[in-house]
Amino acid sequence: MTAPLPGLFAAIRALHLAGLMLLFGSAVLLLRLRRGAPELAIESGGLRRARLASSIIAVVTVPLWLGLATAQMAGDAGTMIDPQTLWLTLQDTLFGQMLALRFGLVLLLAGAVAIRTELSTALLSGAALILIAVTSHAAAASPAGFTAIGIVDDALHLLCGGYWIGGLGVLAAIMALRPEAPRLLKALSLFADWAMIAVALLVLTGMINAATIILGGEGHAAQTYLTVLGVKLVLVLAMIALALGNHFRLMPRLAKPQTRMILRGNITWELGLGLLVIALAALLGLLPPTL
Amino acid sequence: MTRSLLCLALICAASPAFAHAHLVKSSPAAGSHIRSPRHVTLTFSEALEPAFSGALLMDSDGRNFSGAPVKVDGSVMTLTPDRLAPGLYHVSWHAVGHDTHRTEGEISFIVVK
Repeated sequence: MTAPLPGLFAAIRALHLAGLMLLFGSAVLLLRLRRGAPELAIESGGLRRARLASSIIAVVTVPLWLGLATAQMAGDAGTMIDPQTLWLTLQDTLFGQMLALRFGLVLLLAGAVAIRTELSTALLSGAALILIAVTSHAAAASPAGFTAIGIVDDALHLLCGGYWIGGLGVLAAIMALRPEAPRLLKALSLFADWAMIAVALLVLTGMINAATIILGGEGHAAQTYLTVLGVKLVLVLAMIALALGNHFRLMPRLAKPQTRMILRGNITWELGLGLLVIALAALLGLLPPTL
Repeated sequence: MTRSLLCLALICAASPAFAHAHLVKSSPAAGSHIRSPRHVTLTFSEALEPAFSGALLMDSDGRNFSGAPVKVDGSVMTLTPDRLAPGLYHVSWHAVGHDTHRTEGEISFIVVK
């Protein structure tokens, strides 16, 4: 690992990604609920606090990401706080230019979240996620002339993951505040309709990413990388198992109060696992896959 | 069903590509015996950030023969050294891709009369 303070760097990346993904997915689902089941478009309590915190985290983590990435590029931890080198990053690197744009977006995003404009929140958080994809590993590792494909692939991956995580956040809020709502099934179906598409796209973009890794890789796989990836795989498997159980086993029996209790617990678990997956993805982004 | 779920999980968990910039080829080639080269070119696996990528050409005594400033264009790094006397030379490079990851390495070649 060449990154300085790798634990901190991974945490910063994870917090930033999780914040943007939560905001994107929750805004999209809230917009859909306003049309399909407006009484359940709830943005209060824990969800409100989490969204406000996410918007602040998205802003605060940008300068920290700039410092850590600069130190990584320079190979010198001291440059993390060196104004000249930080300026060099912002001015002369694609990453720095995209980060400056992203900073502008997340500042606007914080305002949008504060005044509860869901369409702006969705657009701004989505745009910020797309900008991350521009300088992602997938884009950098794409064969010459295919960088745009790598960017689109990674952007879709982030947006689909965002819809999944953020949507779960909204469902968790509904289950906490309105577990007896008559149209709870409608809200769950609205989420699930697009979640199926999102998972399908996650599969597609994941396949392209995997192909890029296999075709572009050299040397033998690093043990640490494989271990972290293995843990991540187990967590994703658990998430999918929970999602399938919720959809096919619990949703048809939603009339029973006990089922709703189980569903509420499962959604909380799925959301927690999703956040752990994001943390591991952020860590993997700093680990060399091959030696 | 179980197999499908496992495949789904494996695919969904595929991480973004992590192929950091690595040296694909060099001219002169590593370990080659050549006459004094006009240019030393290093070709990498991905486009580089010129502001944070570079190389040094040194002889076995550590003296710098890099000559003109290193030029970085896309995935190619070019050194234009002064005329090199016969002997062993090392090119130490560091490369940063657009994903901000830094890699480092060294190649050596021998200049003959």
